[in-house]
Amino acid sequence: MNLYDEVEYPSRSFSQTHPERAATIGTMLGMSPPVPATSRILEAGCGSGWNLIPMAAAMPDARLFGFDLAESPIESARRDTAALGLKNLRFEALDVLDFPSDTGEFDYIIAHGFYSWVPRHARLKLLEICRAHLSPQGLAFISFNANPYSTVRLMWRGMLLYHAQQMGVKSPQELIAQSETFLKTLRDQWEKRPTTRFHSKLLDLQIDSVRSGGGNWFFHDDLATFFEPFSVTDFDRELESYGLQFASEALFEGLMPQAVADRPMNWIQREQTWDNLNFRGFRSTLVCHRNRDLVRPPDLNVFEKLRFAAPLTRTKLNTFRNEWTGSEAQSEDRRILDILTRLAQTWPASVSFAELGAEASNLLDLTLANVIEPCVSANRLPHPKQTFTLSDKPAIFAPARMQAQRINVVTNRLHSSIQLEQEPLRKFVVGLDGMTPLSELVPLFGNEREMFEQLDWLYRAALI
Amino acid sequence: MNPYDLVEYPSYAIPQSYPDKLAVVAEMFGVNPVPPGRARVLDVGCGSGANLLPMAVLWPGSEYVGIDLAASAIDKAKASAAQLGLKNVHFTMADLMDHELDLGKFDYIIAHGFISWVPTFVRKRLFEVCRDLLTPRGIAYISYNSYPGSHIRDMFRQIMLEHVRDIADPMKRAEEARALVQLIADSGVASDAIQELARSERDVIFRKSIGSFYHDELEVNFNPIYFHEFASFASVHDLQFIFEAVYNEGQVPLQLTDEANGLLEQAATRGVLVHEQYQDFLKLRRFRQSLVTHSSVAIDREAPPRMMHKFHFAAPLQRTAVPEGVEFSNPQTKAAVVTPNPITISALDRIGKAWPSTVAFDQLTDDPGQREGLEPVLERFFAAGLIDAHATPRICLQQPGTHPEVWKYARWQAQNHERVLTPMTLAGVAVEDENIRKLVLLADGTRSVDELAAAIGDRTGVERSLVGAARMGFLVPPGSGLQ
Repeated sequence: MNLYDEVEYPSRSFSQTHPERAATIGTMLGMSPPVPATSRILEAGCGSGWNLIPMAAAMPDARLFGFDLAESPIESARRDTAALGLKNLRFEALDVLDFPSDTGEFDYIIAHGFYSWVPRHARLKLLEICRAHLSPQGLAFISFNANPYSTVRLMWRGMLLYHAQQMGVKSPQELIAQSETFLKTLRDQWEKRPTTRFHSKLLDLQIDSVRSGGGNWFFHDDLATFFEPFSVTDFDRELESYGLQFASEALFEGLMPQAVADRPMNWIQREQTWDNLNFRGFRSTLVCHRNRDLVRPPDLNVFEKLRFAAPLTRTKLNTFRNEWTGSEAQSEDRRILDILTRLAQTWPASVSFAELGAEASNLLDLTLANVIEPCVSANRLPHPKQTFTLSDKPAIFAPARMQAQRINVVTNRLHSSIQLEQEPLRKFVVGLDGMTPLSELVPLFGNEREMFEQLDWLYRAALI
Repeated sequence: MNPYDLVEYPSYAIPQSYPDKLAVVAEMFGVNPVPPGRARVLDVGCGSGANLLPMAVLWPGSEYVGIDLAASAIDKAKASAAQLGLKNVHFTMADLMDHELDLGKFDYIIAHGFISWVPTFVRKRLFEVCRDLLTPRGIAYISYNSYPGSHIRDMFRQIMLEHVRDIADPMKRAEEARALVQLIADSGVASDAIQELARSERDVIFRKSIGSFYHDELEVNFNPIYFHEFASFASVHDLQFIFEAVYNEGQVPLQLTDEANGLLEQAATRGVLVHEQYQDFLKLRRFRQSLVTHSSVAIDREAPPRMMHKFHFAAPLQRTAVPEGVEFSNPQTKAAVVTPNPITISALDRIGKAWPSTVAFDQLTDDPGQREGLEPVLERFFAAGLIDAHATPRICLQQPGTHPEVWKYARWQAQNHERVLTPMTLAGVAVEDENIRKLVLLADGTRSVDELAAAIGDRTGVERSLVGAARMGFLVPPGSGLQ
């Protein structure tokens, strides 16, 4: 019996793992990554499949394959796939060590929450799969617990495991409950003494993230059987022996401080120094074959190949706010304000570089500030903006509707997680099945105006 | 080449490792140790002998053996012993792994800064040596880096080692590594709590000399352990944990929350070792100095308050009258107590007045009927770090007298131009003024204060320095045997 059979890992999707993201960053680094919409995608350790299911629904011409060691999540993934009628997605209960060598090539390989949480031979087998099965211009997403900061988590883990042993903990549920009480006791005691006070603050940060992720997440991460952090340097060394290389972080991040960027060091040393300075505890990395020559930092001309999108709202005359990331851009420059206005009006569709008529350097700044997001695919959002009437029967993105029947976090067409905070909204999402006219759903809100406002919100959230 | 040959580890006396101190803690738990004045003592990883040499001067009736792998350190230690005319200390360049080594049996074994900085097979060997070489009531002092706190050290160590990976020169490695930690602490990139963590580690690192920093943080071997691992290493070698060498550091933290207190009480029902482990969690302890003895020795954990009559007490106490009674404070440890009890006040007054000499328990009160009640009080003061307890008396001269005499170890240090001079209290004093070093050298009991003043050329300075030297415990009474 696998522990993941006993305590289910919360089933959700991770936008940073989407091939669209990998393809965009790959393009920025001078690669020619395969078009995501028609690509072959593999996920190792896919759990109950909810990272792949929304991808498969949004990209019907892609072919996807997910495997996991735990059988019951795979069964659930298969049931959901069948219920949604997805034909381009396949799941299998499989030990990574038994991965069949005749499986062919994949353009994108995803291993989220895998690398640091499996024994060494399974970890190296993943790299072997990437070496042998990643297509020449393909990209792998591999996340891991990063050093330096994960050492602090190792410290908590050491104490928690000792405590669990002392308490004779018998079930995973008991372990979670005991651990929470124990951590709270430690936290409060550390706070009382000046020499340990900052440790209580560090633990607060972690407890907050546990709460937001749910107790199960904590169980499968900090209390997992395996918990092996790596520095990005060690990670790249391990990649090297499999003919692979670290390409980039999969998240668009702020620029390194000048003091680091100016140092005479190679790219990995720079990444490592940056990790050391901001005490990174987790990495979501993109990996490619080592023989690919990467352009780092990106050449600005590459922006001409990209498209751009952002859920922007104008908050002041000179300020735009990204509704999802919360990041703001302020400018007095007419050209930048024009770009942002255009993006705000076009969202959720994307705009090409030529259409923006902009200077690439502005786009880079806005990207790094998390205000806009570049992408490669024009066809991500085939639906033009619509005006609905009461007799219309709009349909919610099918996987999201299925999620809304179970939990209040759903995945949109762009693979972002959307929180449905209010109960009527969740019911509304469930009700929008493409067969029910809007007039029948008005009672959920009490009046038409509010329903149409919510419908507009769902549209902007890329869920219709 | 041994790394300790390349970069010298600046060594000092480690007062808490002295048999005089180890005997106190052992005695408190009913172990009945061999008197420190006539014992055989082994120092494993003795370096250039800075720990054993003053010991050999202070307790001439004992025999001392120091071993180390670094040839240069052993050469230096041997030369020092010869210069000091010591016949009771022997230094040998030796490998602990050498099973042919015939060192004899020991009543005390000291392994300071050893097991955390050697490969794990050498660590195991140390426990074997303790098992095989300790006399039946022998005591070993073992210091080590402990988890959970050492995880933080691990974190910075990893960062630093990666950073200096391509640098060969040891000194350059140490300097670059320290500079990196400074950069991280100053960068302000991470969140507040993390930045605070970086600054606190920076402070720890910069408090050390560059040599200590190099060996403490950048050595190839760095193997911290949890206390429960230490206890089980001991146990499989038929050894058992007595207590922390520093009695004060073994105490349950003050200001416990109710939940933490409950946690510790629950842990205590599972035995002393579990209790100790949970204390480390609550303190986030990163360093331990533990005492072990043979498993066959009976340990009485209730004994400490009944054993205080065996000791001699010392503390540089400051006295202030307050409305509730008298406040006594120890400026060295920052511990303080307010007491209205005349017997306690009188006892602490005697300890304070005798400093830097010790006062025997029997001398703390004139009324024998009060002695028993004083024991638990002294135990609490010792636990709080207010007063220190010794197994043997320490006699220092409190006033310079007509022909002041600095004890011979400090005079030898002055002659060797050492920056830090060691008084009989063993709390090293950094001396920057060359005149003071000269005064220490000349004050050998043959010269009068007038002659010393003339030699130095600054009468006021000489008189002031001599008073200070007496207060710090540098001066011996005539004929004390420490010439």
